[in-house]
Amino acid sequence: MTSIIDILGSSFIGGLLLLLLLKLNLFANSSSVTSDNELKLQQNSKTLAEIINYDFRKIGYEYDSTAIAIADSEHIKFYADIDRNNTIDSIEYYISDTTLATGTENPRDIILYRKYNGVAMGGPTLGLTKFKLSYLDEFNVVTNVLDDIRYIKVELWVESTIREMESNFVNPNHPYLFTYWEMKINPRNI
Amino acid sequence: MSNIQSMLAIGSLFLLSMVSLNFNSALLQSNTAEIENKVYLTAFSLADDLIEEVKQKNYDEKTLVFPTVNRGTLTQTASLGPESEVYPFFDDIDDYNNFSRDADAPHSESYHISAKVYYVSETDPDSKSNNQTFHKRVDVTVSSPYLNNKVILTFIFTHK
Repeated sequence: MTSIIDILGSSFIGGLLLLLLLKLNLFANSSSVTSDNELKLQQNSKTLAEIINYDFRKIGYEYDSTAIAIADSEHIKFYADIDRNNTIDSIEYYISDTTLATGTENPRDIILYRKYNGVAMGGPTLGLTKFKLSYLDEFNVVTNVLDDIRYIKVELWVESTIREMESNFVNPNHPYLFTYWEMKINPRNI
Repeated sequence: MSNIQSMLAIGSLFLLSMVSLNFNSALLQSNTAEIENKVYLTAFSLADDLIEEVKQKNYDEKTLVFPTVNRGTLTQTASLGPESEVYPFFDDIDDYNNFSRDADAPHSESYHISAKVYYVSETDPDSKSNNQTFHKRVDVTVSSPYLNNKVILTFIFTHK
């Protein structure tokens, strides 16, 4: 009788130990995938932010009139001699709807377009799901008067482009990692 | 079961519980770090936003109309802060001295943003100056209940 109890007891403890090892192994794998995706997500956000920052800081450069022509929450058009060739360029930023980013698993991602002198160019989606622009005057108050704009606040909502099933921080109905990036840009020439 | 076997069984159970405890705490730490990274990212954005805002302001209340070459005419160290202005109608950099506000972001709420402005030595921007100089340093601190450490961004402004 005691032998049976010994065997049952040791099997139970052995089972627990095996389950623990299995969970540890699964966790190590999922953790590595999640942190890799998280890193990619943050790199994507930074790339988008750098592209926008590079152009927006130059708004109005060498342009004497009202430099911002369109100031909507998801669309901006401005003038600047962006490539310093003594010719004023027009640059537009706007977004597509969710149907155009078909190469990714994420159904919510969109493409950010940059139109340079009338030629539109959309890059990879980079997981962008929402793009919001706000325009502020010199006192940081939201304005829609083009001449009063001094700051442009850019908000980016970026999600992973592939499903993230292992993370504890995703919505099971929409299993994608998410990050938020905001920046306030003060173009020197407006 | 002999006494030795019992002792071994108890010992192995103890080891198992310790391993399990460590494993769970590692899991928790990893999850915490994952969340904290997101909060740090937003905290940096908020600090940078405030610095960007300060960049638009004049160097000093006394240089709103004309620049000066005389350091003595600048606002005295003890008087750094808003004169009569109220945020957001600040007009010079040192109005942001002791400024603070709360902010929320999609990841987490309750960010607290504060700023300190002081003169720094023109030859050693890391050392605080008790006299007026043509360099003002702005330290922006962002804290959150979800961050272990505060985020501090610094920017030095020069009178042109």
